[in-house]
Amino acid sequence: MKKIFLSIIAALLLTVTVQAQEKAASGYNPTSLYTLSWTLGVPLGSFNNFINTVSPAGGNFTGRYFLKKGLAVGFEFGWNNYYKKYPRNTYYGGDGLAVTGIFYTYSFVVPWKVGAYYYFMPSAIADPYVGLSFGGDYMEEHIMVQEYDIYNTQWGFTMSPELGVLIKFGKYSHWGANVSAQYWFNTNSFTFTDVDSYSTMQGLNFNVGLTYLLR
Amino acid sequence: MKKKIKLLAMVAAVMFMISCATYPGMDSRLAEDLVVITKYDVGTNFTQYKTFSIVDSVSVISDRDSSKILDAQAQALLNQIIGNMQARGYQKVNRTAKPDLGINVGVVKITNVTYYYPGWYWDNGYYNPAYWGYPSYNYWYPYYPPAVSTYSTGTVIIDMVDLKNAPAHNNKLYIEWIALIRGLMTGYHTLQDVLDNVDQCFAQTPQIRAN
Repeated sequence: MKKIFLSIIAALLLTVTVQAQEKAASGYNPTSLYTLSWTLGVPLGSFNNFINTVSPAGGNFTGRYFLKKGLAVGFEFGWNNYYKKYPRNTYYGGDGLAVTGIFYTYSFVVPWKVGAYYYFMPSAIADPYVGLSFGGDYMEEHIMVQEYDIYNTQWGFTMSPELGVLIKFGKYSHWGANVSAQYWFNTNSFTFTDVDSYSTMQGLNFNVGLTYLLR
Repeated sequence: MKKKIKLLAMVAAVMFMISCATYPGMDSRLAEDLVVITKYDVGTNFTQYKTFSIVDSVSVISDRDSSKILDAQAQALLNQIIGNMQARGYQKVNRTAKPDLGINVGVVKITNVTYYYPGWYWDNGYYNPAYWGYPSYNYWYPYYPPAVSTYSTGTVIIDMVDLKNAPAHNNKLYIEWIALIRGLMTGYHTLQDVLDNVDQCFAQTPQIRAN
């Protein structure tokens, strides 16, 4: 009985060792990736009309799993804060209203997405990739004067193509850096007055992040 | 290696803080600036009015009570409004001399109100319609007045009342113009700031003119 038990353990250990060796032999090839990035957001189009400011206040977290060599699927969760201060000015509504003051516009965007990615050189130290992700965008848009806060919140469909490169820190290292650019658009639209209405938000995100790789 | 990790951790921490940065809070927004909000009745023609009268003191509406004050500051506020009205061609007359327009002035210093319905201060020690000779009348906005959720920061209210057409308005004293100057209680603004903003109230309503 003891013998059988020991031989089972030995067999298991052997299997694990062999698997580890196989994985080690695969070197740069990861089986999954987790990346936490800092995001620089650039509003475009209609969104840029609302807030024309480049925002350093953003980030995202992604997880990617390789189905086969080069092809991965994954998820992405992110956040971006945009705000702009407008100098004291007078704004006229169409109904006899006029407001003078310092204004702020602010927007908060939270994408929740899934995507597919193709890595061109999974066994190289620097691995460029392309991807396409889609999902839902939670979005807030605010116009603020003193303690007044006029805002909308909504969800919209979002889609974003992505170009990037994963740089591994070593052949067997679990760490790497990820640099990417994403174009995004969503179906959110909002109206503050007859004059201020916005539809289909768009932007460009530049991400720099730290990646944890599993082999 | 340790140094590298430390540096990397610091960079990551700074990046994370930057990534969560958001807009300035309410307190700093309030301290920046006095905000001027005006609204006038687009259905009226201000050239139909030629004379005006103004209240003899400023109503101060606070948490528990209200009072009427005429100190140097209140007088300066009233004078600034009078000066602007005269510059627009209106003649100041006594309230008993059948003025076309009456002007109410109040300062709201309530600190614990989180919700307000337009005109609630009328029941709160503000000028009674009887002051203008219409005891059975009520004040009335012929438009939806600017929405104000709280007065906690201190607000000057200037209401311009149509007395000329009062009998035709069905027991209602139409407020043809409302002006609000907000942010007085932050402690950052001087009387001169307030007076300058009275000028701004008129500047953003060029429709108010006798001719």
